[in-house]
Amino acid sequence: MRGIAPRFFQTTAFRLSLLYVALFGISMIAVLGSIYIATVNNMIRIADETVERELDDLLLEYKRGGTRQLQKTIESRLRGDQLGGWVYLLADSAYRPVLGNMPSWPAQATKTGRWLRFTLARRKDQYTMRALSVSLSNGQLLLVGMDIRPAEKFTDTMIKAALWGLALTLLLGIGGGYLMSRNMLRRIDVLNKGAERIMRGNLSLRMPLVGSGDEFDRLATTLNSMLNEIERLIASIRGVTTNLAHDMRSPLTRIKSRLEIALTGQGDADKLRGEISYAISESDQLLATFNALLSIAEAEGGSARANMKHVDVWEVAQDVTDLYQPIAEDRGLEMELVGGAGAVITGHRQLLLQALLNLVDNAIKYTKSGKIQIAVTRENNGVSLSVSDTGSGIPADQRAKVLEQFVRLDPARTTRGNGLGLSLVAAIARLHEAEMILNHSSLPAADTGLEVKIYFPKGTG
Amino acid sequence: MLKHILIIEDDPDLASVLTMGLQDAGYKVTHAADGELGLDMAQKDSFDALIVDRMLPKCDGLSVITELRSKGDQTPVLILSALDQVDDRVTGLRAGGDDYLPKPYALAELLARLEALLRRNETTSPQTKLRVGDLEMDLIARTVTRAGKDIDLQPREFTLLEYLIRHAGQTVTRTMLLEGVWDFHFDPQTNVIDVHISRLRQKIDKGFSHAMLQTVRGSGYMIKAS
Repeated sequence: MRGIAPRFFQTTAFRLSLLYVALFGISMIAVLGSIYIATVNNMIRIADETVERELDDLLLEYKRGGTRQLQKTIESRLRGDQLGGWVYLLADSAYRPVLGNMPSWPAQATKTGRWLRFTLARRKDQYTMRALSVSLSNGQLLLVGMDIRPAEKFTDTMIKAALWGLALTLLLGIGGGYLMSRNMLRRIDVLNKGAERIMRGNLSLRMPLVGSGDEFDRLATTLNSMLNEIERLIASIRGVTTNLAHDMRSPLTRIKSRLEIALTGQGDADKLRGEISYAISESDQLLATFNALLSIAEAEGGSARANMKHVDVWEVAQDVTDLYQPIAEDRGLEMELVGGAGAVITGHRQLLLQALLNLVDNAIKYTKSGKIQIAVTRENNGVSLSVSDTGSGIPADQRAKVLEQFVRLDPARTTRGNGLGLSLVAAIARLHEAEMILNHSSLPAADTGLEVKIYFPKGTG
Repeated sequence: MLKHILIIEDDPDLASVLTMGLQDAGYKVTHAADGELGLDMAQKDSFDALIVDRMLPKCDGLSVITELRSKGDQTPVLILSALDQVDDRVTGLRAGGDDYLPKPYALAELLARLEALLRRNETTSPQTKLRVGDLEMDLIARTVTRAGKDIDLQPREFTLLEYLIRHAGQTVTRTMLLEGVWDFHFDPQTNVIDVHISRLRQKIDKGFSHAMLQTVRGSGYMIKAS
């Protein structure tokens, strides 16, 4: 897990937990702060009320029995206050102490009727006193106060507890964020390492699943299905490349050897001319194969989709029938076009012409006698275009195979053609989001024939 | 006077093969290796036709054509391109090209199309009657006669013959016919055209001593008076 420590600061999980900790910390400070202020105020208020009550008691004694009564009461209070929690001081008008447990009148208490706070050394300790003073009617001054250290201790404890709580929260938040991001990074690292291994060329590997069904597992599952698709495509491209190489090698070898013989042999001009024209016709075949591949690539690339317009499939069928009628007649085949105008789809006219032309050309090629029917029908909301023949047909279990590139159901490859015709039709159908269906011919009197149907589900007419 | 053709093509091998081929066919040829130079030469000199590759260094083929057309230059242009896509053909023609030939092309195909372009410039006046030798075609009444004898043609056969007559004396290739008569802009890799031609030949040449509709070996067909 090298490199995780510096990286974890950059993870989303860590940043989110930092943000969360900060927000939580601020709200905690606000809550604790207001509790603190309320508590402190309340404690001071309680202390003040206690001192006021005591002062009122003493003033009552003074009113009842004058200075003597007051002094007697103060003396009895001083005797009772063994812990020194209180201060009492009776002073004359010049602030000189008369009676009390304070050595001198506090310097800041020049005005009576005001709250004061001062510290007092007593019993080897510093007491914090809160006191109130009054002037008596005989000119003397009376000061009463109480030790408020217990209240201050309480608030100190509260602040400490709050700070500890805050510190713990931050620690837990940051620590938890760290752990969470480390966990996330680990899962991502597993995915990264998996991807790197696959990139290095082992396409059969898959992303590991933890089995928790969480978002990482879902991501891994998605990546795996993507890899399956990529692997399938690569395998199919590999197959095509191999087939292509095979199909190219034989004619090229033939051309090369015949040209070599022509070059070294003693042939006359006519013979040489013959070899050259042979080479040209073989090259034409090779070029035709390349052109067919390019057309498939064009249809599969989908760039033609931008140039689609409304096309009446009926007109396409008419044009192709018109072109092929004489050929069918020459071969003693009946050619029939059924259907009617208004079978409008959004499509690419030239590519549709090409697809139908390939289908009709195939039908003629594989039909020795009988009939070829081109049908344009409106089905549900769509349009279907089909070519049926009474030819040799394709066995049901091999129908899917012929849609692959370079497949000719003729192992010896004696018939003319590059085996790309139906793949091009399939690619053009896919471009039009149409379905291509191979079926047994439905023509009467056809016991073997083939029907190829292209169904365009989205008609516009 | 020899017809003067400007080839704008950056591939030196293709350019030299093309130059030789055109010279053999009796043309005077000038070559420019990039778009800028080509545009410059086309503007300074007067050519009978331009052959322009689509992908060119410095200034691409379509821009060269657009620039020339914007200056009012109407010299016929044949576009060559490695992009054999129906839609590229359309963009090429829209840019002002007169014809479009995808690579790899047969020299015979190129020569036939070039000749058609050069001739197109000569006869522009609208005609109602076409005539080659004793073969006469009335475009309004849609009738055809040879030596005064009526010939009955199917509509498509009429269009096919009209195309051939308009290019009388020139070689017309199979792909030119597919484009011009059927509006099929791709190479179907079949011999469908041959069957149509032989049917037409049956109708116009049968019973006459001179066969007007001739096969040009390795290229296509030609209709000739004698």
